[in-house]
Amino acid sequence: MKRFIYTLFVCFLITLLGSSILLFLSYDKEFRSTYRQNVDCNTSWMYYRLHQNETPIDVAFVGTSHTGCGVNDSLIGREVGPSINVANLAYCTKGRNLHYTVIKDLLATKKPKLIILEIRETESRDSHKDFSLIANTEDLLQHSYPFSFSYLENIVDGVKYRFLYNRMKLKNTLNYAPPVNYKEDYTFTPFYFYGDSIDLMRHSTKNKKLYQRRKKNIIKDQYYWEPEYALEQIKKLCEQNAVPLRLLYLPSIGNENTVPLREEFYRNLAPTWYPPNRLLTNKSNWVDGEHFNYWGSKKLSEWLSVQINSTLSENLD
Amino acid sequence: MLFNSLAFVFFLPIVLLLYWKVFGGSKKQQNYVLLFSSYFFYGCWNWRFLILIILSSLIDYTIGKKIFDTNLKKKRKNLLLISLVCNLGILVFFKYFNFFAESLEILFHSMGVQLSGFTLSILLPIGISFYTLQTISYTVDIYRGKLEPSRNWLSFFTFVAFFPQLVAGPIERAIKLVPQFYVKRKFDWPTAVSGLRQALWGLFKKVVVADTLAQFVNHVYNAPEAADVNSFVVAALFFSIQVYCDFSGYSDIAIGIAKLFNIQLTENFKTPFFSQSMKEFWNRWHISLSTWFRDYVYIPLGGNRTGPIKMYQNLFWVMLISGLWHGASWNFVIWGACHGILLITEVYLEKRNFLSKPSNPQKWRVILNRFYTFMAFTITLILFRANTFQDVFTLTGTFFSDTLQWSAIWQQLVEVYTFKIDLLFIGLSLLLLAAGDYCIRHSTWDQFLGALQKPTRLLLYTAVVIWIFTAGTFDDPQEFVYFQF
Repeated sequence: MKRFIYTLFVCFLITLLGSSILLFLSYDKEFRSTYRQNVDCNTSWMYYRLHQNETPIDVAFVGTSHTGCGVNDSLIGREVGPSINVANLAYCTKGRNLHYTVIKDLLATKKPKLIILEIRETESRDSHKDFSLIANTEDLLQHSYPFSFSYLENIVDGVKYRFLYNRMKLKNTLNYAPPVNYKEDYTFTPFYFYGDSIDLMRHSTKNKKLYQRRKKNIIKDQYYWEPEYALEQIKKLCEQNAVPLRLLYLPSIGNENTVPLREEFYRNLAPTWYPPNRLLTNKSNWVDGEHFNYWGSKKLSEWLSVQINSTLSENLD
Repeated sequence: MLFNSLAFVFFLPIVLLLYWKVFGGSKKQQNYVLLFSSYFFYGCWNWRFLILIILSSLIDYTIGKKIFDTNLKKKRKNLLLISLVCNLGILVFFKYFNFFAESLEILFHSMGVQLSGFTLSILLPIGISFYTLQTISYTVDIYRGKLEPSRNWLSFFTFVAFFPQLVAGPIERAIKLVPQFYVKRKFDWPTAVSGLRQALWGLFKKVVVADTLAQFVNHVYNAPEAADVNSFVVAALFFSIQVYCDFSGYSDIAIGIAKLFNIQLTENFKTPFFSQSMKEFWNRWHISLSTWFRDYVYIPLGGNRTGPIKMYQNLFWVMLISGLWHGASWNFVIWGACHGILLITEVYLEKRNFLSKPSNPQKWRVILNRFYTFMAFTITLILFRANTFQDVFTLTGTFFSDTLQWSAIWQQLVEVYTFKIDLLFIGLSLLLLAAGDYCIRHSTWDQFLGALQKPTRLLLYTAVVIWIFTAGTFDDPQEFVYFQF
């Protein structure tokens, strides 16, 4: 029995030692961005835009697929004028800690004049599924809410990705080929069709009910500890770099007349931009229950251009 | 929680420490640890379905006792019937309701009657097909007078939920497993080492072979319209090896883990690709299921005691039901029927002396027989893996539209695996698998490795661990194929 426990202990120590070594070995940023070959978001473009393209970024959008499909960065760029470079740095699926990593990378490589961060009806408690792939070891170990449920999981996943990276490096099989959906100009992902009206109606009813249910049993504060911790860290980062932060409310279809459930918290974080109702209620602007189509994004982007112009001129004043 | 996930790497040592050290004082405490850790393990998928396991355990525990306590034949029969209706009712509702409803809709549609809205949105509880068979065998064995009911609820509930084999077998019989929970288990170093050895080999089969081959198989089967004869043939061959490594890998890990708790489970695979006929194959593949169907379906139907025609019928029905057990789709039913026909043909030819079995067959004959068995299994597996019946036609259609080209096969492999070095690793892993299976074709790992010197053994273990880390698939761990059943 003692021998068995001793063996278990030795195996545990070896695993711990191996994991620690892996965590502190070099971990290539390009690998992190090109590793996912079949994702909807253009992550390798984000790497290119931040690290290889020297064109500055003046206005950056950070968010989920709502931003990815809704914010036409090239159109906004044309609207606000040639001297302002706009970049949509959206990364699909929820998870606030990833936004922290993206903004940190952005601030380390560019000097933006404005950062616009997407918010929705509620915050997701979950860690982003790619946080452990994208984040530096330092962020993996430090940037997490002290009692985070996903802390250990993220570290374990982080070890896995670092192991895979080093194995590929040893086997000389690192693959930096751009993913299938790679675009060379902008990350904006337009859909050139209209959502099915019955499907949109169904989603609209479902989203409304979901919002009301969440509002009724407004989930306790501690539910939001983790994402709100990440948001506060983002705020701190922006303040340290003297970059204004704005929040952009992009709810799902059916929730056009709503405010975020944690509005009070957001109010202390940064000013929030609420897109006009006519944009959100018009069914022909949606491709599905969550995302704008090309025409919806066009209208939203035109509206955003006005907001950006006024914010930038306010800041200049 | 997958056996090949990091969560399990943390889960298992904690349970082992609780089982042996913290609560190792009595059999009761050990059983409590096993029961609660099993429920936790299962609850990680979906805690709501724990209710089903508890319900199924409760029904059979109560009915088992009642059957034993009564001597009235009719009452015993009725009690057995209640148990069967409850167990099969749950299984049929969760697994087959939509299949039957859809089939009825199609049938009525073909007669010009429109039926719709019969299907329900039901989640399939993982492992339901496995633990249902276990609980059924318990009550049937008590009814037959082969088994006494479990002495206490804890042992019986642990038998139903024992986590290593809960979700994908081996399908254990109460007669073998329940008595092991009656006694306090003592730690046994050789058994633990044997368990770790078997689990390591299982992990190799799953992580290195099955999950790596799955990439190519999924690439072809998930887009059959883009497949050609070259990719189809490779995918079909790969899937045979994948499903073997996936399922036998799971069984090896399950048996190995059980040994760490000093609990013996039934061996589920005996190098089936060395079989020389389909009949032999089914004695070496998923043994716990084959023997279950033999004891609880084939023999009650009359087995081979009722004349040749009835025996062929029985064989066919058993394989058909076995196919349906695997999955609620016509693909599986036809897959089962194909195996039934193959078995009937073999038995018929054997009876007519067309297939004589010399005691010392020539090597070429052995190789030919093995090739036949492997190919028969591989071809029928197309039905097993294809997502729809239409896909079966699309894929097999490629076989008649073009000829095989080695260069094209190589190109397809490179397209999926990208790097030639990865293909080299796959080739070497397949060789290692074949060598491993060859070594244990007449024995077990314990016997084979026991004959080796300690340094050689340690060297082998280290090599396998290094190989798993070097060639294993960790980025996209696949669920075990048999979880869906």
